[in-house]
Amino acid sequence: MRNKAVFFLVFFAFFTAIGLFLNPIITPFFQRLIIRILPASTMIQGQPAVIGSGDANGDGVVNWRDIQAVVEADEIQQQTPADQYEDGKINAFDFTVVTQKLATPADGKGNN
Amino acid sequence: MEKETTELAIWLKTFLLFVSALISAVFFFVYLNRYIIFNHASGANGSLTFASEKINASPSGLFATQIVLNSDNAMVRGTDVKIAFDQSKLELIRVMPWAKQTTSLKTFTPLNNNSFDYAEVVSEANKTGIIQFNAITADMEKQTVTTPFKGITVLAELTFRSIQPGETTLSFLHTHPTQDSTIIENIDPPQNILTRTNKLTVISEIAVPSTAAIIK
Repeated sequence: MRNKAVFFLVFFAFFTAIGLFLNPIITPFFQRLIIRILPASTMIQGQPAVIGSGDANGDGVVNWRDIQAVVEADEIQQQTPADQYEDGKINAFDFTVVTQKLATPADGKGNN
Repeated sequence: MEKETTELAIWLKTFLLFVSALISAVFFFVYLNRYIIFNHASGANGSLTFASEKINASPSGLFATQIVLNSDNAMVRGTDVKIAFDQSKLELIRVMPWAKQTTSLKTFTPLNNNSFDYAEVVSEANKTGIIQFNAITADMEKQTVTTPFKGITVLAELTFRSIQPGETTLSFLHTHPTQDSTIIENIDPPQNILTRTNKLTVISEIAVPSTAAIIK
């Protein structure tokens, strides 16, 4: 009986420790996964279609106009699809996210 | 006794199974997030620095300083510059985007009709004491994303006028990991590789009225 108690205690401590270690890694991973899986229709009206997908102007496609949207956005504009890095500020981070999502970044025009 | 041992063996087997599954899961997530976990430790150490750390203002009160960008061999997509200065002692006159001519960092923002709106940078800087602009690897006129930048370059040149005698310091702001000065490496997800900046001390023995004071 005592062995069982010790076993459960070790078992609980072990998984708690692992959970604490993995939490900061898993949480953002699943957040991004969910954003990608959810269809645009499930998003709140007026909110960006898909944040972090490169669609910085919210028109459903990733192309040069999204680069323009990031470059022309107000730097501290809140809740804008141009905030692709989702940190509340429009800067080189957001530009980089969009360039990485362009279909053909070599010519820079994406799927125009 | 024997029953208890058998039971313990079953529990132990289950436990080992869980441990194996968990170790696999850990490796899986570490692999998926390898850039986040390992990039900064093994990655580049970019820098944004003033070309000189001490400047004596000329008799006219004017002086210029260059900002040097070093990507430390990383491929970068852009940089955000945020510099604090004392606007009661210095007045920013001009920002020259040198890297636009010599590198793939073809676009400096903010923009006005696809051109770098340095007047807005100057105006905001003299109001707030923060010089803020960005450079990215895009060509707005050709509507293309240019190649990532790699290497060392003079990013821009700042021209100031000393409006009050004495010593003052200019420094890059880079306390916030994503919202201050940055150098963004082109990896997925993007990483800020800015790890080093310096300060510029300006010594001026003369006082030249600021443009605003002259206009008044």
